[in-house]
Amino acid sequence: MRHLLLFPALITLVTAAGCGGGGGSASTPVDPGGSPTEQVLGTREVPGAAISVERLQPVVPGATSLFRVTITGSEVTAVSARIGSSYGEGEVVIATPVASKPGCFDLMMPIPPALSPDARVWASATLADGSVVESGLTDFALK
Amino acid sequence: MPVRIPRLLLAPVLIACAAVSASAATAYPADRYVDMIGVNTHWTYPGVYNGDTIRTKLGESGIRHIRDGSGDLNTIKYLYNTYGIRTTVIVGRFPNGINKPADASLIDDQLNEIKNAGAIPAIYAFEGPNETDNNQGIKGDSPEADKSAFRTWLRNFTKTLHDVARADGAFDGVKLVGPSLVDSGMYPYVGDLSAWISHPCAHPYLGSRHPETPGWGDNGYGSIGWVVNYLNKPQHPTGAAFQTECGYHSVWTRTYGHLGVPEWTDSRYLPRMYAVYLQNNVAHAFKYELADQGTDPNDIEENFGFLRRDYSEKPAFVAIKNLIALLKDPGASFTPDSLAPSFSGDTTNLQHLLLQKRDGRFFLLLWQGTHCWNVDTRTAITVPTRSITVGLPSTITAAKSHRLADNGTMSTATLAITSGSVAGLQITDRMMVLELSGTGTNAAPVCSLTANPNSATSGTAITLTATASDSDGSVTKVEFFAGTTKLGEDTSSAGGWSFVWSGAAIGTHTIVAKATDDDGAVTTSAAVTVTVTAIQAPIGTGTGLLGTYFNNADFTGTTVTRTDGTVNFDWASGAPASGIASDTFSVRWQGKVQAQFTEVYTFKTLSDDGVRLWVNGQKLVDNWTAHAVTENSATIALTAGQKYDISMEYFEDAGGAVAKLSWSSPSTANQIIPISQLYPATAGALPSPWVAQDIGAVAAAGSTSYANGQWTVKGSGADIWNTADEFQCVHQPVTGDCDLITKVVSQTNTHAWAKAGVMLRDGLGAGAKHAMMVVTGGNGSAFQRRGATGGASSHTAGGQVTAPYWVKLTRRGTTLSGYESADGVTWKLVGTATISLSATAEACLVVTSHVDGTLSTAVFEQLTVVPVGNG
Repeated sequence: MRHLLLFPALITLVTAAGCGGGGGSASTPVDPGGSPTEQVLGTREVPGAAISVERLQPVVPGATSLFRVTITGSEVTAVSARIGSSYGEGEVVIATPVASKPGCFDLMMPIPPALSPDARVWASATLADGSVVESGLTDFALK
Repeated sequence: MPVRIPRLLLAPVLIACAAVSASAATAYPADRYVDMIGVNTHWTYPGVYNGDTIRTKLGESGIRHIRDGSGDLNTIKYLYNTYGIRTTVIVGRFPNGINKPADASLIDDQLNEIKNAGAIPAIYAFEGPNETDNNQGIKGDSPEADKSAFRTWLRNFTKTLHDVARADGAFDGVKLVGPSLVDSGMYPYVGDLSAWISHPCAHPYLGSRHPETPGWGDNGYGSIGWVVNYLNKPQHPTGAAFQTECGYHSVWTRTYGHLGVPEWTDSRYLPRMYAVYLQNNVAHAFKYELADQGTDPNDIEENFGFLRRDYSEKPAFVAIKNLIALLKDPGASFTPDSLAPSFSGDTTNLQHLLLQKRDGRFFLLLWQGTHCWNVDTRTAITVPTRSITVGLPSTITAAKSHRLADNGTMSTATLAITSGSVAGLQITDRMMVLELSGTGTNAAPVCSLTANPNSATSGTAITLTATASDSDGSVTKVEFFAGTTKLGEDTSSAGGWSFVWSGAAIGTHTIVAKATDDDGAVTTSAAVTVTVTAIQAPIGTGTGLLGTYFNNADFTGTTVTRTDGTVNFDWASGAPASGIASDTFSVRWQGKVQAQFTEVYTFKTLSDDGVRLWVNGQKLVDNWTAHAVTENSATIALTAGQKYDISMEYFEDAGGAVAKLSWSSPSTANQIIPISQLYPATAGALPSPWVAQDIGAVAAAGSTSYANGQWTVKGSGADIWNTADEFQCVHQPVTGDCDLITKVVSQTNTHAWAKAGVMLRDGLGAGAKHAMMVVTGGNGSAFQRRGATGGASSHTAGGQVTAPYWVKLTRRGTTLSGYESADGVTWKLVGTATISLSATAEACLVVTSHVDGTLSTAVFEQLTVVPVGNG
């Protein structure tokens, strides 16, 4: 069972915008530590919005890694994500909004000790109109 | 059966009954006294309850009611079939021992055994478990936790018995009686059970006291009236009680607990006991029990019998048998008359009960309501004979006395009526019946009958009108009969006595009316003859049904389309059409069927193998299995001349192949539906029961056509998203869990969010709850849903795929899941959601263009709706 809707994040509504340029439209990743291992995992169109996911730290099985989820095209009230190889798998992590970067959310994600080849980030966002949009089967592969 | 209840046996207070004053009274039906009488049996007890003698003694006594644990259904059926005796069955099985609660889950087993044994007609009532408070050691002063648990269990058991019995229409005629309890304090504690029973129950034993005892404690504690008010009414405030154990044992020497009386005392008390129960509106009272269980003179359980252990008759049995013979008057209910006898002379302790038979005779039961046995000294009390005069109205012209002796025998004498009185009538504490009759007490009504029309065609309503009157009263009802079959009745003279007879069968009928007056007299009219002839069946102009033959058994593969005049095929092992194999093929016949009469039609299919049939959108036959030649049928009401959608689907697996479709109705002999009444569907028509329509305010009308197994759906609309939808919807109702599968063959890409796929929807409103699995024009597949009517929508992305692609939606309770597949074989779960849809939802194909006013065209094939595990 997914617990997303049981723990609504208390987040002030912000206007969606890119994360890197202080309000610009491009989605330039913030460099959390100068790591060369940053990687844009992709963007998925969902109704009324788009979901982008970036990996900001290296992926080490059994450790944790910082990811950033960006929602554009719609106001968003909560974001969560998990790592797994199929629908419904993986521990759900509630995202923290990035200060001064509307639509940007950071998540410190636990990486499974045995990372399967088809492991991917499954992102979910609750939009301001109450709808829930989720990435899917072919999105945001880790490898 | 356990030792009887001594709990009511407290210190005696002997109070003389007041004398009875003269008063007008409405009689009880005489048969009510007879029907009151019941007796307990133990047909599973070896020894005593064995052999023909005891059964014959019971049957010939005229007793109609027994109470038993029903362990011997063969005897129960025998007694009913031979003597008309019906059984009140104690329900409850105790897998954990008699001192533990009965297992409510076993009620179904017990009732099914009765049903499967064909014993239902012999069953009069189901009674709750027997005296279980006593068996479990629960009393009014037990710890609250113990009592509360007992109450919860017993109420649940009673409810379960009700629910199980009433869930099966076969038990509709079986009355439901509450459970018996031993401790009087437990009745109000357990509380009102009237939601689940029609009659309360108790086991009131009087010990050695007489039936008219005023009781021996507060509020008349222990008396028959007290039992009704303080034990029966808390269990059911208005239902007439079943006192399923009562009576006396004959261990009169006993000095403690449950005291007894000699047999001669029993013979005086028992006939009076049933009379007092009748005065207190008790429905039935079951003496405990039919026969002594042994011969030990000191064991009360071996001395409760109507019969001794050797089946010799005790005086009380003889007395009851004689009273039944005198008073029995079975038949339909009637309203007795009133009579106002007056009593004078020495009326000390005088009790009376007025009965009447349907022939007008009154039976006035007279006795002294006092004791003849001293409960303290266990010695006889001499009751003085008292002489009274009974004053009678002038309509009474003849009188007889029927007196019971202490050995139970009855002697009859003719009495003189002088100046409207029977004088010098000697009254004792042995029941005496004064039979009163007269001339001119009631004149039978007169009755005549007409029928209009008396010659008619099938389906014509025939008005039956009676003229009825009663010279010395009023007519209460007129019944109308065709032969011995009652057609109906009229219970109000307003507008005349009449009945409209519809649905008369073809033939000649002999009709009579029977008028009943307010005294129960019935007069039958002279017969009239009504002739009903068949009407000429209107012949249609049909040419048959459109038949689409598929080379596979699942409506896929090469197709052949033709018009079949009738569905009347036996292809044996041959092929049904050129290009279609002889095995693993399927056929869909579509079109309309035209009824010839306004009647209920029975449609029958004869098939080898699977078959489904819809008429007017209603699924009549669903036997979608491989099987030998099998007939299936169902009924539907049709209107003459009207054409109804009809669709029959059939598949052949292997071997012989048969597909036939016939009908019948009251005016139609069973026949293959003739070509004249069948009309082929036009090409492109949707297979029944699928229906296409636009949902929401679309700017361009959508459309759907069907041919050769493919669905072409054109839909406009802004979207299926947010709080309301706009799309073309092809739907049919589906109940319960199901799988909905199709292949999206193609889709015109009017927009990246144009959608085509399958949906389960809670109705056809624009904001209806739903879940769907779709392929989009440019954003891959998606599992989308709306969890609340008019609420927001949610989305789970599937793969980045486009048509052709397969989609599947499943429903398991409130869990709906969307899947996608490249080949229809290997499926990937896209998402799940919890949505509470109605039990019957709409299974849909959906297409929206996402550009309102512009049509997106999607083609689907291999659409299947598969109900899953719904029985």
